[in-house]
Amino acid sequence: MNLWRDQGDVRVAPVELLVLLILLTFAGMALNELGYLEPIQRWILRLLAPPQRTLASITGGVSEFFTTLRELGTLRRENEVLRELADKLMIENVRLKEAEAENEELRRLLKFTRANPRQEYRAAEVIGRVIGRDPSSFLSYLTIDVGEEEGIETGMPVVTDRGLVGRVAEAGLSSSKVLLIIDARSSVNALFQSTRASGMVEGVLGGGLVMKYVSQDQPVSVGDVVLTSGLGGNFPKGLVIGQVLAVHQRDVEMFQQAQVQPTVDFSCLERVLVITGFPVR
Amino acid sequence: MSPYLASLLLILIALVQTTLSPHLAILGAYPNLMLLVVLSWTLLRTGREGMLWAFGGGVLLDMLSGAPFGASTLPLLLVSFLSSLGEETLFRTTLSLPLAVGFAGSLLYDSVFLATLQLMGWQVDWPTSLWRLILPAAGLNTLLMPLVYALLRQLHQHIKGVELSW
Repeated sequence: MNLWRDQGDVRVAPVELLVLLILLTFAGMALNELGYLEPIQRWILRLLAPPQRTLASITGGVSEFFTTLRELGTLRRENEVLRELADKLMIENVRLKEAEAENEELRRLLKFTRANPRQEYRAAEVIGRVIGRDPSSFLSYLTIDVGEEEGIETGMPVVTDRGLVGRVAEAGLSSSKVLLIIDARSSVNALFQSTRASGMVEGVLGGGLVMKYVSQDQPVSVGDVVLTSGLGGNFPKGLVIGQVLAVHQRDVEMFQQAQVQPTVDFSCLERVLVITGFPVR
Repeated sequence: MSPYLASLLLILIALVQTTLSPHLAILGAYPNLMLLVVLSWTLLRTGREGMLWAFGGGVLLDMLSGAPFGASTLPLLLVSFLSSLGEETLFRTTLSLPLAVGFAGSLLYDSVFLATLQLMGWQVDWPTSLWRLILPAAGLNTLLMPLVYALLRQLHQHIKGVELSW
């Protein structure tokens, strides 16, 4: 059958073709809802992962080069600020290591005294390279080059050394899609490090984070660090999410909310860690 | 044009869309290369060919996206069909047509994309989407449309007269 040539036996009018293709799409949507498209999608992702990885490294390199050129002027000033920050962090790091050692000792003592010590998760980390992003500006997903073959499962938390990135939304055979915390569909139970006041960090369309459902009687200040609270069991407790940029508080509302600056720079993510030891719910 | 070659081209565009486009983001929105290619091909060739490209390209984007299947295919089909209505127009050879189609097509694509998500149960913040993503993306797509159109016109002139056949 020849559908497209003028001189062919059968010629389909544009409207008929449109209807046919839309019907096919609806059929695909129905099959997808029933889960029948998943194996096909996995194989397509598997096939496309190697060229996507190659393209990502090329485009990443080119983009990095231009970004560096653009930022050359501000790099010196930024370097000084970072140097100061590094000194401060080093001091804080020493203090934290001390606290960690003390914590470890106390934990051992606690375990000794308790008949059934609380079981802890151990994070076995799988390093995944970011090989793609969502084709739509409305959604914030990443594609990473690790999948079920490396022990990745849907729901596993994804982090970098700077903090929480998101969670695995779809694990393929050799690649996975990661829903970023800045996606409008993402929500993470969180708390402020200083006051321990809890809330829910949600993604904002087009990027950004907002912490909602924070009780009105809890003080919230700009600069407060926001951590995962571990409630709900979707993420381990204590992962850094970001810092408060602004607080929106109105007496007439039941809750206050805070605009949060994520610690992770989602625009230039290259490698992430998937916490495989965390029990996925 | 051979359907195999067309498929390879669409795969390449889908991969570029997921790797290069996010680096070209302005104000949070990034260009939709697949949309620009489909619109340009529809204007340069026939509505039928444009819609076939829209279907193939849409399916690929849906496979690579976190959005449910159909969210990209449906709007691509629709904008391709509507832009093919200008197939016989005299303005086809001028720059104004691709620019206008690029702008209107981008607005329509994003609106139908979000409407599809909403119909599938996703929460959509229309005012924020409009100001933060739809309009910046439409501007960006319109700016890039002449470049994509010119590149595809070269390809079109190279294979002129040979319609997509199986």
